[in-house]
Amino acid sequence: MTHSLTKKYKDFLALDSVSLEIREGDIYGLIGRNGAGKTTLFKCVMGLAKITAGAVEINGAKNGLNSARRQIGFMINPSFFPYLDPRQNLEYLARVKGVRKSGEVERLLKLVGLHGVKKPFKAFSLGMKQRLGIAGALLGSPPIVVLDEPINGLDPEGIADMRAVIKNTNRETGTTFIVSSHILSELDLVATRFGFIEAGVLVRDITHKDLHEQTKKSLIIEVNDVARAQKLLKTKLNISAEVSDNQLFLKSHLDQPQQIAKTLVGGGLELYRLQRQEMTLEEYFMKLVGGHND
Amino acid sequence: MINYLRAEIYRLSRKKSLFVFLALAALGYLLVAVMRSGSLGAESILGDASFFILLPPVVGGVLFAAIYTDDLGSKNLSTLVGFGLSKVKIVIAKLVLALLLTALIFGLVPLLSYVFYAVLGFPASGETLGAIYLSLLKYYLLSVVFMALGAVVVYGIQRSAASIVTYVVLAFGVVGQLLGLLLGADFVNDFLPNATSYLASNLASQLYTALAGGDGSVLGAGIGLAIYLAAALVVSAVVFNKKEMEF
Repeated sequence: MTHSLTKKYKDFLALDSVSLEIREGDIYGLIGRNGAGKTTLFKCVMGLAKITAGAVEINGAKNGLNSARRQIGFMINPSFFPYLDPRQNLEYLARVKGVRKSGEVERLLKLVGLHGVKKPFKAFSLGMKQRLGIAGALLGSPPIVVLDEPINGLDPEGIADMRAVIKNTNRETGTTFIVSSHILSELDLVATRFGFIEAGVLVRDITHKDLHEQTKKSLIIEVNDVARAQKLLKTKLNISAEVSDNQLFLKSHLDQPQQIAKTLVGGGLELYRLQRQEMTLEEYFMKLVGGHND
Repeated sequence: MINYLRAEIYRLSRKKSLFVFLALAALGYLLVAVMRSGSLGAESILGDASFFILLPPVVGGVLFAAIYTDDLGSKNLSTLVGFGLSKVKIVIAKLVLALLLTALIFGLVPLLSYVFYAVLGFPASGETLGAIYLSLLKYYLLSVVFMALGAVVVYGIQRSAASIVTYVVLAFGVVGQLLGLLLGADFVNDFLPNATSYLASNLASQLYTALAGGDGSVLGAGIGLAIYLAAALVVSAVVFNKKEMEF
């Protein structure tokens, strides 16, 4: 949790009174453009940047945060010793963190698909570095994990793997994740809450469910007789539908797809498609921050 | 802090390039010993001790890089702070590591010489070995003082090249000689007492002389060097605490 967190670099206001609450068990997706303040926020939480004003609270602790930070695993630009292989780098971190659980390093290497890799970190691809960074963050099963752009450089299979790692770990251990990513569609698949940050300001904090309520745009209906369907919806449900390209578009009653389907089928129509159209997370973000979607 | 020291020892024990360098340095040392004199004898081992002057800049430099600047390239200092290690503990643990590792590596040099000459049929006496270790102590103390001073740059600037250059310049005595000239200059001594005897290199020489039975105070020189270490430790902790960490 942050309380009116403010961070200034000389005259540049990187974070402007950010108050953020992340609940236990959340997968919190932090969304923002480059330079919006995501990494600065992480740096302040992790004690890597001095806070100009406000406070950070971790599990109820506002002072003596070093001990609270030991409950956080994090990955921000994964960096390891270049001459050590993945197992050695994790063994090093395990010693730093005092993790004595037997087999923990091997478990994590298997989890991220680096088991048996003997080459040193300096010979890693970006994707392998990301995988090792995630393993480092999960080392010792911390209750909170911060991941900054965890799927950067991963191939599609790697992205799916990491999504599974985050979701499974969250489900099995209740680990709280705070994840930032530029790939918003991917974040939409894992996050349970979202924070939108722009120019150092937290412009929206919203649950996944509420977000999707807000991103509903229309219902698209395809039937064998569009004109009859339009008339039926008007007379039976008092719904005005627009017709375009042999499809019906509904701007209201978006929460009643079952009733609409029942009415159409009950009226003797063949229903081919009934789909709720939503804004993508990217469209929502652009609308929120006033950007341009190219 | 113990966990961190364990981790650092694990890391350094897996750094192959460090062991390759030390093996090559040992080989070079023995080759020079052979080439230095046409006649090898029981006293040769004492003569070889004159090469110890190269230990602070050469071996000390590699140890300094391994202990301190590897963290900068791998951004490990950020990782450590992010994991909740206090910056003061990191500074102290690094100095403890420097003291231990330098003692271990430097301490092996006389043993290497001893074995070499013993194989050639000239085993050194205990007295000779003691004299060599005493000579080595001076360079050991200088090395760790220079490492502690170089660490200020590591924590304050967080750039590998600047840190290593600082250490090497200190270890080759460049700074010491310049300060010696300055502190001993008449125009300075007109308003300040001559403080050249308080330079680290002079304190280490005084300690060596006193321990070897000559003039001077072991305690005074020892305290002087300890003040260097303590001051470097405090300044390191202060600059590190002020420094924003970069990813």
